[in-house]
Order: sequence, then C-alpha cells, then structure tokens
Amino acid sequence: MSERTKPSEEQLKYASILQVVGLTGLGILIVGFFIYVLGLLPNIVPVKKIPQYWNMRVHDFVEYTGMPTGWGWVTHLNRGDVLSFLGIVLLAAATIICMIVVLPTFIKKRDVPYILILLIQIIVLILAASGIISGGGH
Amino acid sequence: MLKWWKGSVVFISLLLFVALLGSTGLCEETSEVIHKSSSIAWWMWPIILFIFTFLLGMLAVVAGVGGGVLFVPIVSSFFPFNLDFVRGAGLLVALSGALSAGPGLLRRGLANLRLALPMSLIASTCSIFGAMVGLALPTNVVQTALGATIIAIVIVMATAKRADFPEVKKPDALSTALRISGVYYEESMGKEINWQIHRTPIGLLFFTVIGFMAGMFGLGAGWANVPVLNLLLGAPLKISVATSVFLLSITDTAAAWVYINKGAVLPLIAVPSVAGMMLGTRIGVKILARAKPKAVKWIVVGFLFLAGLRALLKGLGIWG
Repeated sequence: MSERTKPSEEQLKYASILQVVGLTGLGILIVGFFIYVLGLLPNIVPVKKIPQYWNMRVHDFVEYTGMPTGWGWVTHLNRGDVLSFLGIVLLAAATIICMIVVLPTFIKKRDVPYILILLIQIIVLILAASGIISGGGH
Repeated sequence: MLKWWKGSVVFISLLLFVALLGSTGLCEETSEVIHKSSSIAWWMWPIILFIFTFLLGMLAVVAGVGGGVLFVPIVSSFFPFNLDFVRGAGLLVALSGALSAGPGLLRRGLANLRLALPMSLIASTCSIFGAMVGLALPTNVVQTALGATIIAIVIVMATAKRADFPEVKKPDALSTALRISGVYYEESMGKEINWQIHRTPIGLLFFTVIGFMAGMFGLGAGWANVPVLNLLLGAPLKISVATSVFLLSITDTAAAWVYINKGAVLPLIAVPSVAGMMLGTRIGVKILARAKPKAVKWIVVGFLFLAGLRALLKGLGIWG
C-alpha cells in the first residue's frame, strides 16, 4: 500500500477499536447466551416460557413478563437472561466508543466540520442509547 | 467438486423457496404455526433458527444480496415470532455483519470514514425516528408497509445498474468543503484510482429516507446505500459497497438502541440468528469463489419477492 492509498490516521484508529470492541461484544454474546440457555444462572423469565410470549407485541411482552426495559437490566446482572443481553449492548455501543476515541485525532488536526459532525453524531447516539429520544424504559 | 457446490447451493435455494411456499398458506395458517410453537420443545427453536439463518447467510453472499434485508421478511414469514422481535433481531444481524466486516474494509481503504460520517449522521438520526414509528404503529400497518418496501427493493435489485468507475467531472461545493475524496488501489487493474463525489446535498436527502426505512423495518440498507453512493454520488463501486457496509454499523446502531430500550431484542431469537448468519456468510464467501451465482441470485430475489408479497397481503388481511 503506497502513501497515497494509505488510510488516514483516524480511519486506522477507528478500525482498530471497532475490531476489539466488536469481537469482545460477539464473544460476550455467545458466552452469555450459553449461560442463559443452560440455566447456569437464574433468569427473570424462564427460558422455556419465552415461546409462550414471543408472538406478542413488545409492550404486551414486557407487561406480561416484567422484563426490564431501558437501562433497568443493569440492576439484574446476576440473571442469565440479562447477562446474555450484555453482549448485545456492547455491540450496540461499539460505534459510540469508536467515535469518542477518534474525536481527539480530528481535534488535533483542527478538522472543524468533522469535529462538529462527530460531536453531533455522538450526542445523537448517546441520546438514543439513554432512551431519552427513543422513549425507552419505564 | 465445483458441481457439488453449485448443486448444493441451488438445492438449498429451492428448499427455502418450497418452505416459504408452505408457510404462505398452501400448508397452514400462521395462527396454526403459532399454536404449534408450543408443541415444539423450546430448545429446538434456537437450533432451527441457527440452521435457517446459516443457510440464509450462505445464500445471501452467493446471491450478492445483503443478509439483513433477507432476514426480516423471510423470518417473519417462517417463524411464529412477533414482527417487533424479528425487526429487533434483524437490526442486530445487520449490525453484527457490519461490525465484523468494518475494520478490514477501513484498513484496506475501501470504506471511507470521511464519506461515511456525514451520510451516517443523517441516516442514523432518521433511523431512530423510523424505529420509534415502527414500534408505535399497529402491526398490520407495519406489515403492509414492509411488504410494499420489500417489493420495491426487489425492483431496485432487478433493475439498478452499477458503474465500476462513475465519471465525476467536478465535485460539488459541499463535498469539496468536507474534503470527501480519495485514492485506492484497484487490484484487478493493478493501479491507483482517484475518486471524488458530486450531488452531495441530494445524496444526504436520500439518506434521510434510507435511515428512516432501516429503523422502521429493521432492514439492512445496503440495497439502497450502494446505488445512492455509486450512481448518485459517483463513488467507485468498490468504495460504495465497502462504505455502505460500514455505514450500516452506524445507522443500525442508532435504531438498535430504540429496540433494545423498548425490550424488543430477545436473546433467544437474536443470538442464534447472529451466529447462524455470520457463520453462513463465511461459508458463503468460500462457495462464491467456486460457484456461478447468477441463477442463485434470481432464485433469492424471487424468494424475497414472495416474502414481500406475503407481508403485503398479510398486512392487508387478504392472505395469512
């Protein structure tokens, strides 16, 4: 790869972080899932009962099962179903983590348009994750 | 060996096609399938889902169709899960695929961060609203809109042309200000290709619609990203395809949070789907090197059309 075709510093940094967080998330997803389905930890909703509810709409499902919404799962990390959820959360957080990590590189280069784009993007994603603009949680 | 691969891919395609026909009413109504679900041991479902998505992932690659776009219409036709959970899992399937492929594409300079970020800001913001609307609307309305969208996607897939190196005589003011351009090494030609884009404001407008639809239906949006990046903005095809994959990792993240916060991501559905699709995609890449995918592509597109038609008619209360 010549100097001309070499990706920018921030792009390479983004790629490295994405790889680490993405692989970690997938690993936790698989391990958490086996802990969940093998019943190694107690579940909020017994796994064998899930098929009774999965044809319901999500708000009915939450009402019947009492599954936590929003960030309510954080207080139930000793439950198998919540642990399997942790990998999903990490995968969804990967992009936010990458953007926060590459932001200083754009600041160092004084790339004002992209600093603004990244800042707004990070705020949008954090608002979505927090449930503020997505209406999550009880 | 080659014949064996080709034969097995066509066989799997036909198997899925026949199964879809079975699920579309020739065998039984969906409600009966739902009742049947209680007679199947719970642990069978993740295994069935894993095998199914494994085959789907393999076919998606061979056919050159995004796995994310196949997942929602087909799984919602085959399985007794509510559309809310299928869309939640669909977003995770598309997101995992994009997160896996993203680092390699960025490192090789095929996915471009400067091109992706302005588009992703618009698309991801709109995907949040799409997801909120999708979860608020009645199921039959979403189902009808999903069916119509899938049929439109089939038309796009069947008719859209692609240009390897679109001609961009002069970049527009916005892309110049944002310094969206690049150079990449084209292996097939053994030379470096300079690229730039035009019509950026119109492209951004398109991404509002693409993002909204990705969030509303839980679909991967590669089918729309690539034509917009390639034909409208004028990015080379390889840059468009790679940047589209990377874009999905941002657009789907935003929508995924809405589904996660609402409780619409069930690990029992999502995890086997992600694992099956990722493994199937890897095997599909190996088959692709040996098989001629043209016939498979048309079988999969036909299959997708049938799934879209079923969703449309189901939403309208006509069929299923």
